[in-house]
Amino acid sequence: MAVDVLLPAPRLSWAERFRPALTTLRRLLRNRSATVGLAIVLAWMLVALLAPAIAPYSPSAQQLRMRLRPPSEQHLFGTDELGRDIFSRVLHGARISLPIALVVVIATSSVGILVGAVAGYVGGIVDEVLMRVADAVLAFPSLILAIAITAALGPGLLNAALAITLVLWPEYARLVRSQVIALREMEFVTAALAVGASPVRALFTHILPNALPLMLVKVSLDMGNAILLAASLSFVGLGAIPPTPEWGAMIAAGRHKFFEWWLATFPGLAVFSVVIGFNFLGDGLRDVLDPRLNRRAG
Amino acid sequence: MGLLAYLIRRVLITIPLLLLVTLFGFTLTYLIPADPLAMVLSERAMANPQIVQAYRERWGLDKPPHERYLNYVSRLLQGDFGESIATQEPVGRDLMRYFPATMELAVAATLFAVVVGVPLGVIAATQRERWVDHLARFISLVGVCVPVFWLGLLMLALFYYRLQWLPGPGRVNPRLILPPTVTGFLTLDSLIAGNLEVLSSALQHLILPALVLGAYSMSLITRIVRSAMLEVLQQDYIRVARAKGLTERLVIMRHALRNAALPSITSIGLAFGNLMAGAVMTETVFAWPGIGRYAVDAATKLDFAPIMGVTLVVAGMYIVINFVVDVSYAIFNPRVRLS
Repeated sequence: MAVDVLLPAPRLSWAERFRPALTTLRRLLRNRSATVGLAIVLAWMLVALLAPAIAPYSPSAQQLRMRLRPPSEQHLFGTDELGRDIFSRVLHGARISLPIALVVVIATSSVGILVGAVAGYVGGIVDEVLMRVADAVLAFPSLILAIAITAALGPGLLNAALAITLVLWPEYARLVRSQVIALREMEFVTAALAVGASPVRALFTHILPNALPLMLVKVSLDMGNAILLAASLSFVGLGAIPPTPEWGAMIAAGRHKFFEWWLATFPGLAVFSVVIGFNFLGDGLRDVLDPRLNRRAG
Repeated sequence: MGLLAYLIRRVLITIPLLLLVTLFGFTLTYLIPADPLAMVLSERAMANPQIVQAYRERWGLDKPPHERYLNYVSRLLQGDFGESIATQEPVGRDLMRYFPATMELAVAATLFAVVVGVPLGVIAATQRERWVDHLARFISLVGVCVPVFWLGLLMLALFYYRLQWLPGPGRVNPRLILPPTVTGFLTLDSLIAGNLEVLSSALQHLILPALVLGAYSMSLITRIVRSAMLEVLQQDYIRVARAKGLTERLVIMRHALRNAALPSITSIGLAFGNLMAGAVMTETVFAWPGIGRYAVDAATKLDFAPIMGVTLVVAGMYIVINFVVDVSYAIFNPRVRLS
C-alpha cells in the first residue's frame, strides 16, 4: 500500500552521478600532501610501466669486469657484485614491488571486507568467532608471523604476498565491522530494508559504499606497509629469489659491504620514496574524506 | 573497583585469548605443507626412514594433532614452553637468555623516542605552520616510512665504518669479560659489578640500534603529542591561563602539556608494543642477541615451540603495557575510572 506513494527513483545523468566523486577529487588536488603523494606514486607507476624502455641496461646483464664500481656517468648508481647496473635494477624493482603491494592490498581488503561485513552484519556468535580469530592473528608480531608463513611455504614473492595478506587482513575486518555496525542502524538502511531490499543488497549497495572512504585511506597507507613488509621479507632472504631485482634483496646484497655504500643506499631510497608517496597520499585522503576531521577543521 | 580486583579480572580475560593464539599458531604449523624435520636433519638422515621415525617419536610428531596440541598446552600451563627442535634447548631458558637483551634495547629506544618526540611535538604545536613545525612533521614522516633495516645499515656505514665514532654490530666488545648476570640488562649488570669498561662498551653498542629502533616510535609520539597539544591549546582554560598573565612557558608546561598527556601516554604505550615487533629487523641488522633474532631463526626453521614462545612473550608484553597505560590514565586524569 505504501509502495504506491513511492516516487520513481530520479534518473541521474552520468555527470550528476559522478559529481560527488569529482568534488572529492577536486578537493584532493587542492590538498598539498595528497598532490605530492599522488605525484610520487604516479611517477613510480610510470617507472614500473616504462622500465624496460628507460633503463639503460638489462637488470640481469652481468659485466664481470665492471664489478662493484661506484656511481659514474655510465652507471648512475654504480654496479653490484656481478657488475649489473644498479640504476636499471632499481627501475625494474618498481615492476616487482608495486604489483606485489597491489595484489596484497586487493587480497587483504577483499578478505577483510568479507569477514568484517559478515561479522558486523550477522552479529552474535558468528561475529564473536570471527573477531576472536582476528584478535589471535593480531596478537602475533606481524613480521614474525609473515616470516614463519613464508619460510613454511618456501621463499618466493607470491608466497611472501600470501603471507603478508594473512597477516594484514584482520585490520580491515575490524575497520569494516565497526563501520557496518555504525551504519546498520542508520535510517537510510532501515528505509532500504523497509521497501524490500534484501539484507545482502542493503549491505552491498547501501552500507559498504559508505564505508569506502575510510577504506581508501587505509588502502593507501597499506600499499606502503605492504612494500615495507615485502622488502623486509626479501631482506631476510625469504621474498624474492636472487636474480630478481627486488629492492629488499638488493639492500641485503649490500649488507656487509660498508665500503660499497651504493649497493644498499639506492634501492633503499627507492623503497623509502614510494612509501613516503603512499603515506602522503593516505594522509591527504584522510584530510579530504574523513568526515570527523572535516567537522573539526570547519 | 579496587586495583587488585581490576588486575585479576584483566588477567582472567587474557588467558583464553592467549590460548586461542596458541591454537591458531598450532593449526598454522599443522596446515603448512612443510616438515620441520627437513630443516634440522641432513638429506642423508632424511633418506633413512629409521632415523626419521626415531625423530618423529622423540618430538611427538607421530601423534595425532589434537593430542600434540593438548600436550603442548598442558605443558604450557605448567610454565613449560617446550623445546626447540633445532637446538634441542628448552625454549623457556632461551627466552630468559634473549628477552632481557631485547628489553634493554626497547627501553633505550623508548627513552630516545620520548626524550626527542615529546619536546618536538610540543614545539611543533606551539610554532604551528612555522619552519620548526614543518621540520618536525617531516622528521616524523621519515621515521614512519624508512625501512628499519636500511636505516640500520646506513647508520652502521656512517658512524661505524666511515666516521668510526661508534662500535659495530653486537652487544658489547667480545674481548671483554662480562659481569655476572643479575638483571640481564648488560648496562645495569656492569654497573652493579662496578665494571666501568663493560658499561661504557655496552652503552656505546646500544646507541645505534636504539636510535634505529626508536625512530618509528619517535615519529608516532611526535605526531600524537603535536595533535593533542593543538587540540588542548584551543581550549578555554588555556585562554584563561594566558589572560591571567602567566608566562607562555607556564601555560604550556603546566596547563597544556598535562592535559595533552593522556593521548600521549597511549601512543607511548602503543609505540612500545610496536618496538617489540620492530626489534626483529633491528636485531637482525645489528646482530643483537635478542628474541627478535631468535624468532627469525626459529621461523625460518619452522621450529614451533620457539615461535610460539616468542609470540606469547610479545603478546604478554602488549597486555602488560595496555594495563600500565590504563592505570596511568587513572593517575593522570582523576575523571577516568578503571572498570
